[in-house]
Amino acid sequence: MAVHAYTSFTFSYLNRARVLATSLRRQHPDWVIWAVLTDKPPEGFSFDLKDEAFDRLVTAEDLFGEETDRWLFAHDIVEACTAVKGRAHVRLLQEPDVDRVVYFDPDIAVFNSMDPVIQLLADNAIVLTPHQVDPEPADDTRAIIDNEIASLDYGTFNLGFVATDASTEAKRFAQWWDDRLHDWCHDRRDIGVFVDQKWCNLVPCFFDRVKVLRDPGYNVASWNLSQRRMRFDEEGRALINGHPLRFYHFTKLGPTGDVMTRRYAGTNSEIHELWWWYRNEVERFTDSRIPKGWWHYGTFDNGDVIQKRMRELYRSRKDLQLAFPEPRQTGKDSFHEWLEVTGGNG
Amino acid sequence: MNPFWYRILFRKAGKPRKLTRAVLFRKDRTARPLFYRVIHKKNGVVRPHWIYWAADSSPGLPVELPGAGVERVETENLTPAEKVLRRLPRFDRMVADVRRDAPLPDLLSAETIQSQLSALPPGELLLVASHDNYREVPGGVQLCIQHEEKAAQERGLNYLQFHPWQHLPALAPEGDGSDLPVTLVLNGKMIGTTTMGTLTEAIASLVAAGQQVRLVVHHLLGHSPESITQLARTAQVREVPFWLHDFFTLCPSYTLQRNNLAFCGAPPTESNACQLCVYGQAREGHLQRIEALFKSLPIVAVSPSQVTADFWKSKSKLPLAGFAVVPHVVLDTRPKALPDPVDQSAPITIGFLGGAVPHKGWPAFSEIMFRHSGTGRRFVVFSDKRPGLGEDEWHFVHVTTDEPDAMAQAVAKAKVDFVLHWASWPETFSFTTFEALTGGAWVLTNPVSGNVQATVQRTGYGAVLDDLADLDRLFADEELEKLAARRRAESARTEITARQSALSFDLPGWS
Repeated sequence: MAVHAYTSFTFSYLNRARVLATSLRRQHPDWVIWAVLTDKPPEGFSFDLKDEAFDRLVTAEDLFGEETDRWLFAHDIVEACTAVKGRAHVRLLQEPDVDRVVYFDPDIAVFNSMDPVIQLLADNAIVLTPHQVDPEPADDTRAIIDNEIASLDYGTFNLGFVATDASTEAKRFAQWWDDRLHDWCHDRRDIGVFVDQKWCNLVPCFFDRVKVLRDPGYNVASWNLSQRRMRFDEEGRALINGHPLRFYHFTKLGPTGDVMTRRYAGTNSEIHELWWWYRNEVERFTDSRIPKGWWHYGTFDNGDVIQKRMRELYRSRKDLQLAFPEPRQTGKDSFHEWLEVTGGNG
Repeated sequence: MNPFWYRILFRKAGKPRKLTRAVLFRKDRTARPLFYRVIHKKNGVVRPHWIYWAADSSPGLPVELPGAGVERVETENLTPAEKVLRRLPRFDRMVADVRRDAPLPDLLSAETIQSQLSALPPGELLLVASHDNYREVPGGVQLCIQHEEKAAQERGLNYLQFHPWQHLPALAPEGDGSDLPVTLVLNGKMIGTTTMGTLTEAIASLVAAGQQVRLVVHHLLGHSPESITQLARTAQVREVPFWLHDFFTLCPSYTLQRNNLAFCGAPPTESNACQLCVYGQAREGHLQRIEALFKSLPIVAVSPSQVTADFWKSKSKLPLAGFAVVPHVVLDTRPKALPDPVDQSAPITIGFLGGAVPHKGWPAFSEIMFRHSGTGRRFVVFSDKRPGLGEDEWHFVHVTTDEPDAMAQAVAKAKVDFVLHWASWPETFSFTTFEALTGGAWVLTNPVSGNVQATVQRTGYGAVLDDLADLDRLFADEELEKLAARRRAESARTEITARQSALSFDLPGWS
């Protein structure tokens, strides 16, 4: 059974992706782990698979060819890293030996075997994990807003994880997802779109053999901690509501994550221990040669930061896309110059 | 707190103004009792504006929170676990942080050691490995070693204890080996510092000259097991008693505290709990070195209690030449010839014995004290350092072999009803428990506390409460009064005395 797992990141998230890959490798030494990189290394740093827990690398350029630069220009960093997931899934399903494909967000760490998901895929084509699997109490308004209403806004399922088999149905899903993400992977909640995630509300409607995994040990995160408690059993196994902790989603490492974890984990000290461990692991895997906030596609070729409004303008106007097919370039007759001259109002 | 008063009391970064400091803190920066009355709400929760000052795991020390203290006051209550974890460094840093900067003293040569040992009255030489100077540092293990030294001298043996010059919360680095500096204490007197290699060289010469040598291991903290193996082989010892004073043979966290937060039970090294723990990261290598030691030497593991023996055997696969249970103290109870009068009117007195450290249950004592002070109960601390954290009374007590009953006498004198010993790990013996009982007090504890709860269960002198909520309930309702009445009646008619062990000399073939 060949299982191909992948994660999508830029070099700014390499430390987190390394934590994921290392934790996944510990559980599944036989899986093929892919790094999907939407970035190019900063000067003085090289990404060498020999030194990594990853087996294989595929870049945005590998996936999107000559359109990469201008296509990515229409996306901010979060949109870009999520937009490539559909194409990467399609690509991995083309591997000659593939039986299963599993995606993890880079800010996830795996703590126990993922075999139950692989077994689920014997009867299912697609496995998704909802943000919440238990309703909040009616009188807990804050939890309803933080969790359930947020799920209505950002998507029912958390697309930090998705697993498929290699069936025709799985390929149909991957192709549909790629198609939508190619054109519509934006943070546009005003029109009901949130990057790659909200599209997947439609998955149970469009596809057969979709498994909604309600085991609380999967995709544990601040958005479901209100209904999940962690403890260790006598053998030291981490349990969530009595089920083995499979993977934890360490979303928003920093003060925001701290506040939400504190709010919902409260005195469940084991959750705070998980975070303590994660912070140390991220620090251990941080490479000082990567400048803070590095993203090759985040700047024009002269180093000027590409602002979100520039990206939105570019993606909204076909005329600009035709006039400036290499939008990151600067100099005479460039999009950069056009922006300077017109202030974006041309 | 009203923002106006907050501005009056504190400067912008949350630091107290001079007047505030003078009113709430002593000159040595410890908090006055008033401080605790001010910062806590009636339900015991710390008021939000005071979180900055309550962030220390040992309450009372005004500390600045990393990343928060100087520039801003932490506005949201940190959970108790977060407070501990924010201060928890990685294991390598924890070890590096305690390393001394001081230069090594002049080292004793093999010849000097040899001549000092040759000058002693004739008799066998007992080499003893432990972690610090048992003559200077107070503590249960140190007291045991003092008793053993006394027993050795009574039996005509010379007692040479060696402890690492560099205190470490771990084994010495593997590379240190024979270069590891150790300080020697000969028949109770510190004679200087040398290296393990030099000590071994001196012992080799003595053995060659016909000296009989024995070796006992009380603790391996800071030691190099490899060089102890070398020393034992050189000394040609028959067997090596290895005392299980704690669980350092199972984990560098000798009290088995996962991330300094909770008792872990020594799960497998590959378990989630171990992988996520600061000590787990070093545990695999630690266990390999301990195992190599046990494989190399004829070790007799000695447990101070049956409950420790049972737990240790269930968790350890170390090869042994033997196993024994030798309690440090045995209690004798007998009816008093003339029962004392019973005073049921005195306020209920709750004691805490020893240093205010978390694994001995100080957090539980301080919480109960804060919640129930002012309800007619008296909270008294007996130790060699004043905690200054809101206790009603503090009594200086330092137990030595010269005054082995100092604690029990102090407990009896203060008419303590209950000693709260809320250990967060399975105490292997617990002198405190025995001192409480011989002082006439009963013990309140939890099911995790090892020999504390085993002793309470066996004697019936005290109560084993399931958790802090249960303990709090005991204090909140009439049950504590009923228990105190039973305690006072029992204490009036029964005398409890303690018989001291001779430690290793209580082992078969050693007396």
